[in-house]
Amino acid sequence: MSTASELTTGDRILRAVSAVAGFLPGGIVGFFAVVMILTAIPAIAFSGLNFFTGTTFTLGNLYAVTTITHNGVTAPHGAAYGALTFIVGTFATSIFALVLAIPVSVGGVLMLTEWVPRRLQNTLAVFLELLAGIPSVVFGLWGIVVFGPIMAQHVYPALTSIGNVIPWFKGPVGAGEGLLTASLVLGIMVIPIIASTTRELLRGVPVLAKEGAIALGMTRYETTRVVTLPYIRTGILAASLLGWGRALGETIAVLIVSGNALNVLPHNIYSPTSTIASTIAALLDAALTDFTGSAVHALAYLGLLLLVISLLTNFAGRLVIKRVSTGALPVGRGI
Amino acid sequence: MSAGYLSVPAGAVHQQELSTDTAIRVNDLSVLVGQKALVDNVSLTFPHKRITAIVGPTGSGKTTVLRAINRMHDHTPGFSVKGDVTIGDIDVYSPDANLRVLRRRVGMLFQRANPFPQSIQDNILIAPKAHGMVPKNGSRDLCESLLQEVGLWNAVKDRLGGSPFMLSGGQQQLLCLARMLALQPDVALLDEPTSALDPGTTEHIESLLKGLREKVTILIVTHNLAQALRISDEVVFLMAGKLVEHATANKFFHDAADERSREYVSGRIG
Repeated sequence: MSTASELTTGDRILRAVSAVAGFLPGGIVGFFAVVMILTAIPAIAFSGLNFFTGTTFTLGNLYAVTTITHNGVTAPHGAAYGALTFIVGTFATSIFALVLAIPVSVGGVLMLTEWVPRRLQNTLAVFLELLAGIPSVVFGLWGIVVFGPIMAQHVYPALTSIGNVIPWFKGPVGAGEGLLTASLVLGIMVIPIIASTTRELLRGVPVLAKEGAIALGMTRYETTRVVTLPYIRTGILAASLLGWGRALGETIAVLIVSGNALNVLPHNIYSPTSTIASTIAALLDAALTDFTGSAVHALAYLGLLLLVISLLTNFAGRLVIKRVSTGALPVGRGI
Repeated sequence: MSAGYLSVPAGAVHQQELSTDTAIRVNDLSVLVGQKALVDNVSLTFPHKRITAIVGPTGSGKTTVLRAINRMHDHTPGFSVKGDVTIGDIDVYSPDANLRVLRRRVGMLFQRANPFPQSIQDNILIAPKAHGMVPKNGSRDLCESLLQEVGLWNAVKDRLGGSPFMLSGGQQQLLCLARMLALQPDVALLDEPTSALDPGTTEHIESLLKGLREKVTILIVTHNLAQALRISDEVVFLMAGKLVEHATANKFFHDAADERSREYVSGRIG
């Protein structure tokens, strides 16, 4: 430890700058949380538990002069803030997206690294990065103009036969804007995140570990299953959580392809839906014209909820990773 | 004669002539990385059910020769192998050689323990199961007998479902030995298997190897001349990718034919 007198001016500046930089992320999260909570408080008072159980979310009659007051908070006549539709939509689309993206990314990358020559691998990796760089509004446009209609005409009708086993797959399939289309588009957006991480993880699997299996006459498939996958399991979990975070918060692409359902829960996987993020974007313009100001509070409450969900999934993920990596896996310990 | 610090009696090794009962025949073997030869035109025979130590200074190609025998170089980008290796009726480098059968019959133990990231029991059973060698309801017995054989049973019998990475380095290497023996190999390729282990475990593994000689042809790469002296029947001495001398252990350590061998044994080179 050096005492203050030993420090040069440069040291002091560096120390100050690093202290600021070190506290900045925490500070920003804290500031966000405080502002969101303060802005959301009126909506929390107005809605109470109905926020989590109600499916009717309406800003009320913004042109009327009559207001209603509940728990001391005034809102336009007819206003109700029940967010269940959006909560369900957020979880459903993001989880379906992961169910699609995880096997495709992990399987695809495993196939690439095990069976494709190295030079071609690098070329294909460039495309993966390009996929990650496509703006989400482009995904949304493509989803509604090309992907959704094609799926609704040619693919979804075939899926309805699964409806005999899993009722959610029963038709009607609609025009291609809805839960499934949103999930598929989200899935495609999440693939680069999980795939590029998986690729890095595979490079980290010790050659010695794989040689143990090869030297016992095991096939590539067996080596992958017995050695490689267990080594990267924790990392894939972490990458999936990263992808889930992206899917939870993705706004504009979902807004375009989700069909924007208000006030109704999806009755099958083709139904229109809305997520928390897409709803905030869709309603913000109207909310700003609310003369009582309560619509903005309601949207802030939605924002707060999304923040909490994101943080909780993040913490839960860390917990899972910690538990998994202290088990049968060599991750994080010397071998 | 200059046996140097190793001028101790060679214990049980009294053989004077090289064994004529050949298990492995290596013919004009060269291993190349690009144009550079790591192993240069080596021809050798390894005796049946004996322990042959492969010794030599760092970079002499010991491990490279060993890994050529079960075709591990196939999996290293940039490596190419020329020449022939035959193990019994297996022509190792023939285009229609069955690698699965080859590696079932030729086991390998590495410098550092590399257990699978699976339970202790599965470490033993996965390979025999893959090769269809585990009788129905016999997996538990197989597991126990192999762990008994390597002297690990008492240490792990209460945690067969646990992680092998909780074991000590020496125990992990014993587990890998049991895993190798589970396939009942004819040949065992050992690549400095004790170089990372404590003297006690090293001694334990050496005594196991001496016992295994009854049923397995053993090739052991070692940096440790004293170890070669303790356990080997024959010694192969390589330098810079070329074969210098192949002799019985007794002869190599006490009356080597080549000047470089005598210098190596006495510690003046290497």
